[in-house]
Amino acid sequence: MYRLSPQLLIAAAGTMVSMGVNATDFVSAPANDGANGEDADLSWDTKFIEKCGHWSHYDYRMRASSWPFPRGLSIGEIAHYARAHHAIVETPEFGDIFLQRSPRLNAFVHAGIVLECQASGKYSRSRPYLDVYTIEGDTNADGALRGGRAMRIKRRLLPRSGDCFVRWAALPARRTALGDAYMASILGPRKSS
Amino acid sequence: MSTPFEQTPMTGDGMRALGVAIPLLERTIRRVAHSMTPDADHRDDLIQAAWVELWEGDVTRYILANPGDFGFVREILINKMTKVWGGRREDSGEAVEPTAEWLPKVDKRVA
Repeated sequence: MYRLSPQLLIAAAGTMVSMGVNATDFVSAPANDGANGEDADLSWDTKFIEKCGHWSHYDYRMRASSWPFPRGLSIGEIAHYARAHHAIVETPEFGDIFLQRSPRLNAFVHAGIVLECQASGKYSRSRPYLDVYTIEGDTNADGALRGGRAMRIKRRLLPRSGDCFVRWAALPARRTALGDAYMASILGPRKSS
Repeated sequence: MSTPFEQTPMTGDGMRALGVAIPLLERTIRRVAHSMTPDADHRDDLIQAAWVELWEGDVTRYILANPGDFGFVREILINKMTKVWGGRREDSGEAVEPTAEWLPKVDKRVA
């Protein structure tokens, strides 16, 4: 199994951006365009991260990925999972997942991958901010939510508004029975010798 | 996979969202400022305070096409203007509690 590596994730995400992926690559068209305009499931920012993370950590020999998150998590579930594993941090590093919070909904509404923390400072009333360079899905050139594109963005995040970062590389890598059997087949002879 | 976007850049800037948001909110903010004070300089100060609040609050976390988000952001800005104007009235010895005469008439069509 591959070790968890921010470099792998970012290489995959950068490739996706350069290929110009859009919503059709991640979500199917809604069955009806009724009153579900606010349906969070239509957002594909977390699906973008999941796809990049899963396939960048996929080991074809073991037919399994070491990407630490279970598949199909919503953004709220990602935050919950990370919090349960003590992987939420306030200062970003290369490859962390950022979670952007909406004060109105009191919930996370957007996620992406941090490439670099470019600056930090404080507004009036000591409100801190962080300028980060990111790769994210379902945004646009203005950094808007549900923008429909995968892009690199210079974005300002506000820890005081609840924005935070997931240090996923510190999470335990997922293990499978097949993976364990494979490792045992490799290590078995060495142990016996 | 779809065709790459050849005509548009692949790097964006979240601060540009402010330039998109201001025209959407400008009419309401000017109207509120006008209802608070007849003084043009004071009005400009209030409007500037609203835009600073919008800038500091990072508008990219809202979808302004969504009436709920739009109303929430508008309320934040009006509260900021009310606070600034309240402080100004306090400095001049006037009452600082909001009164009906300078509470804004909100444009319900955009809500």
